[in-house]
Amino acid sequence: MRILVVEDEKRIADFLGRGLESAGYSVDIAPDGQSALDMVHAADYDLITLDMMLPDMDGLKVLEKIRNRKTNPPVLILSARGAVEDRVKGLELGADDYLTKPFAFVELLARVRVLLRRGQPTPEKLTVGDLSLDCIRRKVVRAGDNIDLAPKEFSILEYLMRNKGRPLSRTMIVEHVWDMDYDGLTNIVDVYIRHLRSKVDDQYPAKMIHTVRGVGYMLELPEMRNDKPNP
Amino acid sequence: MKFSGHIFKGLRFRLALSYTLFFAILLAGFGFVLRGMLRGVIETTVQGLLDEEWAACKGFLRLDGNGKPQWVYDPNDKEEAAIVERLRLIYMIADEKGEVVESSEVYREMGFQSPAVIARVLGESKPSYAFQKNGRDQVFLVRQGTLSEPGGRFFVALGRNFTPSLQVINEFSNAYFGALPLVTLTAAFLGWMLARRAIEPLKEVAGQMAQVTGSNLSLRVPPRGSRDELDHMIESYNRMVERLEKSFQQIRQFSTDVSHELRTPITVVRGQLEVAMMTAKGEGELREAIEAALVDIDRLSQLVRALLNLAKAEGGQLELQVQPLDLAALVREVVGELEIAAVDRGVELRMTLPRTSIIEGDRIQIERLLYNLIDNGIKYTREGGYVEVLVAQQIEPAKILLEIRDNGEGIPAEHLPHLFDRFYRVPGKPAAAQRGLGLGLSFVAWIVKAHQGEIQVKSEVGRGTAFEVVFPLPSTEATTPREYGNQRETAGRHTNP
Repeated sequence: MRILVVEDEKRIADFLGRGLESAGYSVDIAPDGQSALDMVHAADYDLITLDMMLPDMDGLKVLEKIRNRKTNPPVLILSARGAVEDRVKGLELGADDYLTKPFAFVELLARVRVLLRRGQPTPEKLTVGDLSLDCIRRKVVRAGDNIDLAPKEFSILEYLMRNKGRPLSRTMIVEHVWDMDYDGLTNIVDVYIRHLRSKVDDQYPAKMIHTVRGVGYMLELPEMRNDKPNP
Repeated sequence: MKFSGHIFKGLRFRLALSYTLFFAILLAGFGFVLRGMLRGVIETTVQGLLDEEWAACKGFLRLDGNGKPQWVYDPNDKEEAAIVERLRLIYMIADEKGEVVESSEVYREMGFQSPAVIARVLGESKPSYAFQKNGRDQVFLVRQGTLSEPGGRFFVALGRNFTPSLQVINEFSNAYFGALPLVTLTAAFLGWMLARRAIEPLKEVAGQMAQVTGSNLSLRVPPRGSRDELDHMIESYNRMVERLEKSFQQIRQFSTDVSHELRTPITVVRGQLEVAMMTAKGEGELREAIEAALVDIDRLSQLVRALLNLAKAEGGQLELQVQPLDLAALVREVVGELEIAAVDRGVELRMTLPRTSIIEGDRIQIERLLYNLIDNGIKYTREGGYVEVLVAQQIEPAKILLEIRDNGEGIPAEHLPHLFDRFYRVPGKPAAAQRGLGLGLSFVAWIVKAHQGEIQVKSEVGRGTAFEVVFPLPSTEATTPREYGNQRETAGRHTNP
């Protein structure tokens, strides 16, 4: 998987490169908008992280030009401008995700993993071990037992199962399930996860919903735990 | 914020009320004056009639030694007879002792003049007039005069009934003052309507003004085109809103800039540490990451301190310790301290200074100004270049000139107007590693302003940049600490070519 980091602040580009490489991705760095466009033109990238304030042009301009090309890698905006309008504008122009500086690197990594999975076909029926979830009929079965879930609990479980083996941050879960900016209220996620665990995990020997320290939650079969997460 | 209607009702009411009151007082006063004039005219007329009768009297009346009157006329002449008849109706004659010699019936009813009055009249050369009443509320105007006859001097009084004249005056008064309430009422109504016409546009404009709020400061109230006081007010208001909008924009821009300037180093610190935790092999790499983070944290705290200082200064909270100061000596000192940095960059520092040059200023701030400008020059000058500091005294008008110029890369003209803006950096240069906080020149501009000076920058790409600062000469007084913050508007300005 190849990632292009568009970032003019050298030290940010440095740690992004090192961090992403250590997570198993190959990384190129573009220090300004023009070189970013040149590099997108020259090579196929699986994902682009894009700074909004570049010395030669606005990040939104770069985004527009990338979107006009045939290859269409997911774009994750990294911006020091945190304004809601900026975020909305970026997402409207076709960015796939938006992170405000300063951000936790694990958060960035979690988002990168989810974004890279996009584009793969999404099955209507998800199965992890003895747990299965039917997206159409909205039915959840574990070890043959029907499990009754509230709508939000269902959405969280579906999101976890679709991204099995990838840690999801609380903010990501809030953004995905509540579809809004719930900044600061991420405690709500912990409450829902507790409910979900009591219904899905507690009566069964193999626990699937795991807490990932410093990030959030991840759904995985216990015996897969020691494997490195597959990027 | 909406003006409630009753304030305008109040204003309208007060306008109408004062108008009505004024009108009523004017009208009543005018009535009194008119009445007085009317009475005066009538009195003069009657006095004239009495004068004529007096003249006739002199022709027809003869008095013997005792003052006994004899009317000399032709009884066959009907006209003469009528005149004498008329004369004899209201009259009285008294001798020099004040004793009544002769009088008519009508005169007796209203009483005679006292001997004192008679004596006074006899002593005067001119006749006098007096009002006298009888018991039936009739008023008479009496002409008192002296008639000199061979038999002696006699007091003669001739009267005319003044009652009908008084009636005319009273009738006029009644009609006039009777109509006054009605007229006043009409005036009040008209005043009320007029006041509405006067206030209506005011109300309208107030409504439009109320629509200009913090969130749509770009809105303006259109002038009505009448070029009157209201238009003048609208223009003043619009100018005020414009100033407000400008400072709002500046504040918004500033907070955006600050958040950007703070977010970037925080991102770096956080990311470096996190990635080091994930990837570092051994203590050495961890230590390296921590050291890098500390450098960034240093920079962050510098930034925060500088921001606080600038905010304090521009908010008028920084008190300057103004005292006489030798600028030339200070330049020598600062240049000495920056020498190492200059040598390190291969830049030569030059000075052209008078022996002393006294200005009035805050030592710390002036030092900061010199540091910023000279350090800037060093940063933007290539190896082998020079930075020169000049101080000179100008005689007419008396000023101290400070110039810091270099033969460095210069600044493209389009960046010059923004040079003193906070966080404004000429893109690209110098390398990020030695990039400043972007606040130095803002602070310099403030320091110059606070010292009532002016600053200009001239630059040519490839040839160098020159900052010219002008300080006023120290006055004899004012050596005590003063606050300069609140003089920002009027104190010196920096002009950007």
